[in-house]
Amino acid sequence: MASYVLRRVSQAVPIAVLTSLVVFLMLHLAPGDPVVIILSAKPQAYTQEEFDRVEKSLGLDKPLAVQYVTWLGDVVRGDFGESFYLRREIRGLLVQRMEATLFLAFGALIFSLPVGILGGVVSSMKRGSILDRTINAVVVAGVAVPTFALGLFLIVLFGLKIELLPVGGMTSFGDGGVVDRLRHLVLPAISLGVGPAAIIARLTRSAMLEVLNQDYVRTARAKGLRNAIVVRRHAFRNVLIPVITVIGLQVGFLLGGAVLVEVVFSWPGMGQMIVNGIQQRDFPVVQAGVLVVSLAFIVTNLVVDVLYAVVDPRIRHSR
Amino acid sequence: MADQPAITKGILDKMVGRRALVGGALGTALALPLAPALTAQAAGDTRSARRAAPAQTEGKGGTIVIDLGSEVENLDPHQQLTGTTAMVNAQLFEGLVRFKPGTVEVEPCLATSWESSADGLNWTFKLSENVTFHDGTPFNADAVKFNYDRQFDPNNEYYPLGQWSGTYAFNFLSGVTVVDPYTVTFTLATPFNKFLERMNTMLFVSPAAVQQYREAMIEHPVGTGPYKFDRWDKGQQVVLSRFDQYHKYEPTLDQVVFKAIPEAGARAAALLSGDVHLAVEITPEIAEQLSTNDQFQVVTGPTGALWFLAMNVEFEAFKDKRVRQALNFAIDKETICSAILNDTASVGFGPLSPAYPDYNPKVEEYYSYDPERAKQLLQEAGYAGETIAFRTSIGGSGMLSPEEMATFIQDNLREIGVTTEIEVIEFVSWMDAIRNPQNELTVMSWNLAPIEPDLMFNGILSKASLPPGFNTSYWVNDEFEALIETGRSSLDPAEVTTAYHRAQEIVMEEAPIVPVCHRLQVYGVSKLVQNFTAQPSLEFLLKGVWVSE
Repeated sequence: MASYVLRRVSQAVPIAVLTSLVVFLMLHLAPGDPVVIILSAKPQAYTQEEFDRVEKSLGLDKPLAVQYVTWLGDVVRGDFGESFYLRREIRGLLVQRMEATLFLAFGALIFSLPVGILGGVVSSMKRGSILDRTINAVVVAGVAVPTFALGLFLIVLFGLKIELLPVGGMTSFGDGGVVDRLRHLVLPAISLGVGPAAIIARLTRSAMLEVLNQDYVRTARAKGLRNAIVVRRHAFRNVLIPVITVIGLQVGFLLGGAVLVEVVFSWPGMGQMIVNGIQQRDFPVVQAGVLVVSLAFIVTNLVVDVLYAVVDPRIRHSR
Repeated sequence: MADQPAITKGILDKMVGRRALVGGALGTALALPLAPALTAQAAGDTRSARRAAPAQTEGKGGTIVIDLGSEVENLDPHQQLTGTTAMVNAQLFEGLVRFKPGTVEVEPCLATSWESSADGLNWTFKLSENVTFHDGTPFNADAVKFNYDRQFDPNNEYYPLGQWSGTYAFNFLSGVTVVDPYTVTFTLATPFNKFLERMNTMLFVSPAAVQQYREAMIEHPVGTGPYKFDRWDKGQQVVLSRFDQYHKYEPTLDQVVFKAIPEAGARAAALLSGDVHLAVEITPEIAEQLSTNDQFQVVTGPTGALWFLAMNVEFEAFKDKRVRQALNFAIDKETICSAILNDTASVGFGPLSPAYPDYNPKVEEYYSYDPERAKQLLQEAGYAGETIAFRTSIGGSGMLSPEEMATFIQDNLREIGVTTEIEVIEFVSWMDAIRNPQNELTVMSWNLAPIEPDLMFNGILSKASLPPGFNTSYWVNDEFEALIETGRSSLDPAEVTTAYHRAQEIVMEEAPIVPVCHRLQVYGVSKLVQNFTAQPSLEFLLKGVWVSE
């Protein structure tokens, strides 16, 4: 087991490094020089001397390879550098933003897990019924609807029409207590969670249907066990494996996909930070943000793989 | 914007393109689906600012929540980069002089009086003696000297933390001397006739705070302004509260809260739900929605901004000035301002908006919307009908609605027989693209307070601003150069005005650009907010503003 985990971890590291390299190259090769952006503050044309000074102060005068290696070395030591614009250490910024994004992703998961699993189980048990078809329709809609459109719809409906929930931000001014935070969480969490919920429902349904046709389920029924017990003890547990996989993937989606939701709901998370960073060509911020998100993605996948091995001994032994 | 009218706000915030992606591309798209809902919402909604603290007395009090649209990055005025931050800093910090409300005329602030030597090279300021910083330390000549050294003396201990952005605006300064505890003299390397106006943007921080906080100064602003810093909840809000010892007048609000909601639909929702009282620089779509809602008003004010088409005079088709003049006749500016921009901009006749004291009304006589005249000029010029590449950005602050406007202009040009091919480019990349010598025709905007014509002329039309500057017309005219030099350096106000008037006429005659419109300041304001007005200096002024229940 330990060697399995170790092997998976060692596979994850190069992926993270590669991701960071790709992001680094994309940023540096894209048009739009941060030095020019900063110097454009000046009403008159800037001189070469000024250009060189700013370029040097941002560390952009060195060859790309050197910049990358320096950056990577610093990151390994836990130093993400300083933002070009905020003139502030990125580490503190990351922690803050990550907290907000995790809070949102967690909220979305809390919504999508029970909704998705319950929906899937119910629709598999009532296969072909109106209920099943209704759930299926909702699922298709849930996968199809763009997050931001859903977000705006929810804002208009619950924020402005019914006036039940706040329309944006993470706290109200002058409040910021737990209840206030939770109230702010509801709409963005639902917007973000609907997609994953739909996917989980869909997967749970098909996995359930498959399992319900298995011999051991038939045997259990033949023994005269009540339907609820058959579903709970015999079928559902076996459904969990594919469901865990998809949940793992969805966590990655929740972290990365939070970008649009964060923008629509003015949620002060990683997504918003990355979007701002891209607009301002704030290389260190974007690099750090993307690296952290991809690491989170890799780590969740890793955890899922390990969880598998725990849940299903066959996986552990077959590798 | 605020206390950095001409400079920092100016270009910076455009350049950093704060809403280039979100506000522009997404924003416009998202605001539309929301629009019908917002209208339905309009009737009889009185919930504005339900979460605000109740106001105490008539004429005073309350908490105002302001949506800046983009995030504050740094509260050290000597390091600030964006106009957004300047709006917050304008409440916290002051200069020796300020603009008289409603004007772009200078009046005393931290200085009570001043005089200049005959050659205009020495300016002596008498400082107000009853001013303290928010931390209780006194404002005096030493504080002025400290602030100067921090920004301009490379050997100063605190220089690395103060020289980031503001210094270029003062490259004509050569030193400051302390004459007595409340008198300082600024020495200029060259005479500069807008020196006092420019001094409005030099803000003073508490020396004690710089010494105490050092690098952390960006999060601990200590100035002399009417509001003092309370706290900064990162990514959420900056909170200021009334400074009771303020030296000029009694600040009216209890608290000022600055939020940053980037996305257009979310901004509208925050206003309508009462989370926000005042939103800065709202889109034409939101402005239109608010104008039909009796709980809100749309407050507008002039700017010195120009939205224009730059024609590369070295490009074959534009070498003949009659072709450039034809384009000036071809554009239906009125319709652009009213139909596309919902009157959030005024028609641009010349390079300067009428808000500049040096505006020459004669520019209005040159070009009207006259497609026939345009066709005639094209014919005279023997325009061969070649297709012209027409570049436009996606969004970008100050760029208004570039794609819609470019499409409309394309139609206008088609009517006179000029074929253009629109090339839409992301804002930051676009800034690179238009300064490429192969650039033919581009939309462009230049954002300033209507104070110093030089910043307009020398920013987009002068020899000095040829790319990598923003003279994307590649137009150079010797007479014009001489005139703007006079405008910049002459100490005789009449001579300055004459020079600038003539300079505007040359731009009209030579037509290197098509002035299209002047952006207005546009604020979406809840009716609960009393006395808010837009300043021509672009300063974000909250003097006398209060929030009723």
